[in-house]
Amino acid sequence: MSAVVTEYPAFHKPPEQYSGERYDNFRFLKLPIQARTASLYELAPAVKMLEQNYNQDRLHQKFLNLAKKWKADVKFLSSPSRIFGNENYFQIIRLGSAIVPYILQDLQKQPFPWFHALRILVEDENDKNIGVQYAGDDRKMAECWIEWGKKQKLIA
Amino acid sequence: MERDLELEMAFPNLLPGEYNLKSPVDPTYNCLAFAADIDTKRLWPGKEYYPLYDWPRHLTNEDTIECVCEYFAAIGYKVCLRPSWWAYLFKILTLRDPSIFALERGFEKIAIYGIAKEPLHLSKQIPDGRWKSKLGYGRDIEHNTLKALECQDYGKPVVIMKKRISNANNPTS
Repeated sequence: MSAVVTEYPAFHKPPEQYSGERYDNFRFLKLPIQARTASLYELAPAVKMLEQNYNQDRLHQKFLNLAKKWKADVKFLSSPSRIFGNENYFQIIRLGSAIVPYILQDLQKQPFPWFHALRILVEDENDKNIGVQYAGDDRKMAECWIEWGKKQKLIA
Repeated sequence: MERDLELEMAFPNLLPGEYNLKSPVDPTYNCLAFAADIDTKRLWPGKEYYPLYDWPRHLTNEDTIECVCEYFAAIGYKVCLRPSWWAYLFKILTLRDPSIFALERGFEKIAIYGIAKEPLHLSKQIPDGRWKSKLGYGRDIEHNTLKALECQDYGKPVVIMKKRISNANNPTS
């Protein structure tokens, strides 16, 4: 059994002028060891959330970089086999369905041919036919996908 | 004269002073639609890209130059053949350019750029003999020659098609 620590170990003891509750940054050392472990467990969801946010930010940044490169590469192209055969487009699709909200956010700014990637990334077969009635009209297809994204609560 | 340096970087043959910028960036239509005088949708053959691009149901739907020719044949264009030796004789006698790229009175022409059988771009001739193009998702431009847009991404003009235009629409005739 671990003993309750009521005093600092000698090497942690703060100098006289920094003593008192205000400067007591090592208060947790005074807790029993079980209490210290419990507080780590309490922190775990917060740590996990921070980790998720960090991973999401990294994914978003990766998506933005690839999208920027792809748009620059295909800006003057008309042939879809060249536009969708671009290496950066493949890499964007390879990021997986987690990037669907980012694609929809980009569509909200300006219609760009993301529909090919969206059709690959959405899981439901029915969703793959969104906007088919507006074939060739990027603006209306973008409106359909944005509306779908809002219904699915993927974008605001 | 307004210049677009990004454009000049992408097309090394597009020299300053040899092109005019005609519109802002507009992703609504593409070069094929532009050559067919459509500015509301994107057209391109190829089943794998439907419904991203529209294509008439009754035409062959493959990403080939033949299919693009078929589309323009359906709206009245005919493929121009290379001029024969008598055309050059005609040139000497009349001082007129017999090249298939030259302006022909009473006709409007389109040029299909590509590499092998793959269509990559289209340009349309304007009444003064120059050409107009929609550059992908970018701007519309007018350029003096077809060579101006020859590059790795567009290839070279491989087919020229022409259509007779009525007198009412043709100020040059």
